[in-house]
Amino acid sequence: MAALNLKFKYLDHTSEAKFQAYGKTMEEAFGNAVLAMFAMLTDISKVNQKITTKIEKKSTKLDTLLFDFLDEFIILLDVEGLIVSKIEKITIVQKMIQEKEVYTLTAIVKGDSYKKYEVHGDIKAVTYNDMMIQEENGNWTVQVVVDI
Amino acid sequence: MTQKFEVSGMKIKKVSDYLYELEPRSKMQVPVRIFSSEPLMENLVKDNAIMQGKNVAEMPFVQKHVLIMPDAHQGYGFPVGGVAAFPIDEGCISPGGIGFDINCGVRLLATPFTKEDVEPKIKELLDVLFENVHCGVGSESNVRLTHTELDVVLNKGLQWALENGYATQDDIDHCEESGQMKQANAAKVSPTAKKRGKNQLGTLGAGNHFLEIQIVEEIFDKKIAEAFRITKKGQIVVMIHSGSRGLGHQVCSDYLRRIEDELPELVAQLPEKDLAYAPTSSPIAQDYLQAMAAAANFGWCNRQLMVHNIRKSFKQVFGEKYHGKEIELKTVYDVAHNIAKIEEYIIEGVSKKMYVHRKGATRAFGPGHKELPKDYQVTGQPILLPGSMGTGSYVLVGTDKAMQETFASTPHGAGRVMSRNAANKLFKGEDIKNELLRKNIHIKAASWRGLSEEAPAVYKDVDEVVRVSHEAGIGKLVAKLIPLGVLKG
Repeated sequence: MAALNLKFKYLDHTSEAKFQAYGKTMEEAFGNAVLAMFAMLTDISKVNQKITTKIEKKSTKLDTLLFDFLDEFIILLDVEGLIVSKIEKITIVQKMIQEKEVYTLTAIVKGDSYKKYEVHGDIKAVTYNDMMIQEENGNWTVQVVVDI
Repeated sequence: MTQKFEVSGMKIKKVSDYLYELEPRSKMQVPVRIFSSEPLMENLVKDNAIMQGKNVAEMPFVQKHVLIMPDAHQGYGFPVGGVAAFPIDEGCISPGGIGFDINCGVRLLATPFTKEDVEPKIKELLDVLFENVHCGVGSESNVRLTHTELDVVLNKGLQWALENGYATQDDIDHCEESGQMKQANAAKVSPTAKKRGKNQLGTLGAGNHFLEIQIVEEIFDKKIAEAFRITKKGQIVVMIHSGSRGLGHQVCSDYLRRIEDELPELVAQLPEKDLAYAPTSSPIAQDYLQAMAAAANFGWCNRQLMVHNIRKSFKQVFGEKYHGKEIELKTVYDVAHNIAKIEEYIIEGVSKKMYVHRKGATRAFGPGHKELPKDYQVTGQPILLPGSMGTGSYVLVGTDKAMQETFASTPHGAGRVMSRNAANKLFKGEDIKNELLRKNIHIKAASWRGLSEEAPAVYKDVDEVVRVSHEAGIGKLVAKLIPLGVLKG
């Protein structure tokens, strides 16, 4: 069980980086997973919230949704140099689209260009290794291994 | 007394010195063979690498054996340090069996300089290299490519570098695949992957990637070392460890996701989604192979542009000439250690063409292989094994035994034993820097915090990895290299 207010924690994995992110809702846990990723690179409490970006992802499966959502931030980091320091808003809505249950994730995030901060390490990709999305007594946990 | 090893209740049999085999289970198509020693096995059985090897041994059409190298550790899907081969007509292609960093690899340059020449100027050299070879998160290339030019890089690899003055014919002759995989097709690389890679060509990256100024510490085989342009103890060489940057990573992600979307039933049956594969003859597998080849070409150009900038840096620091001769930094070799290649091996007495997947393993062609350059025909292929910052790296040579027993594969480095999380708790970047300085190893890093994750203690003993390779006969010792200056992201 996660300690109160703990957003995420890092776990041991020999070669890659593994973390768990927590939340009262699945949305919050997904959002905290994004913060866990960027907190590996820099002290995100020091990163300004100057740039706002909106992300939308759809999938029929939750693990794929999480994979694609996190992958989008790795792309943003490489292409635009964006370090995310705040999840402004995040919703996950499930509805029937063409006879399939589809999850739609919409997020508004804030952050700044990496250039003004001391950044270390790199994130190459999201993996499905040991990925977990679960709820227990109203507490959500997501677990992810990223290739670094 | 010989120790007994087991993983998840499965016994591991010692076949001979340095070779172990996992007890077979019904779903396994072939045995899992582990090249290791008792000290290395002690660590290996603690993580999931061998069970990941077992999963690979359950894949359809897998040939002869799944191999686990002495430096292996747990990865995602395939273990890192894993090798598996599938027939080219009916078989599997698994992007996760190659890794996210397609054509992560090593280039070694031989210089005419000695330790005495470079040591007094090492700080200046590192500063100049740091200016010219961009590293760290978000580092940008000093080459601006249009979309059309990027496609040429992807399709032509080092031919593009040659035509644009970044490479010599000698570089190309001493690069695996001559730096160009012919089946590359830029059209199979997504616009997103191209966007990630476009401004990263010629950048080192971060994490375990590095550029090192090294000293030849020991020569084990003088004749072969000389053929490899390593002429004496104390000679300065330069090693680059880097890959295909964001472009290659995205190619792997894109195709893993495409397999998941297009072959959901197949993926649903796998013990781990990262094992996702496509039948070789399927359009997905064929597209992936063309995209992988394009990313590999990008990887070779990436290292080549750094070579170009290293040559420039040496001239900036040491002038145009050395003892009256033009300064030449010659390529010893360039190897890819995350890649799938078509190669031919004897299976049950019949020669068979296969896609050999190497994920964290180095190709190790023995003497006389037709794909080796003329000057390495007699010796066999150079194997470049990067170690950790504090210990050293090695040059080995491919053998006939590797051709017969490991699909010509050997380890790719030291291999991690400690997680980055644990390392960050134990070490401070600044302390590591000072400790290395006491050993006369100078470091220039984009970030000090990153150093703690790459502390020498987080790696397996590279000396032991190399010893196993040598004793098992799958890569023979040629030379040991120790760092004098390290550039890290």
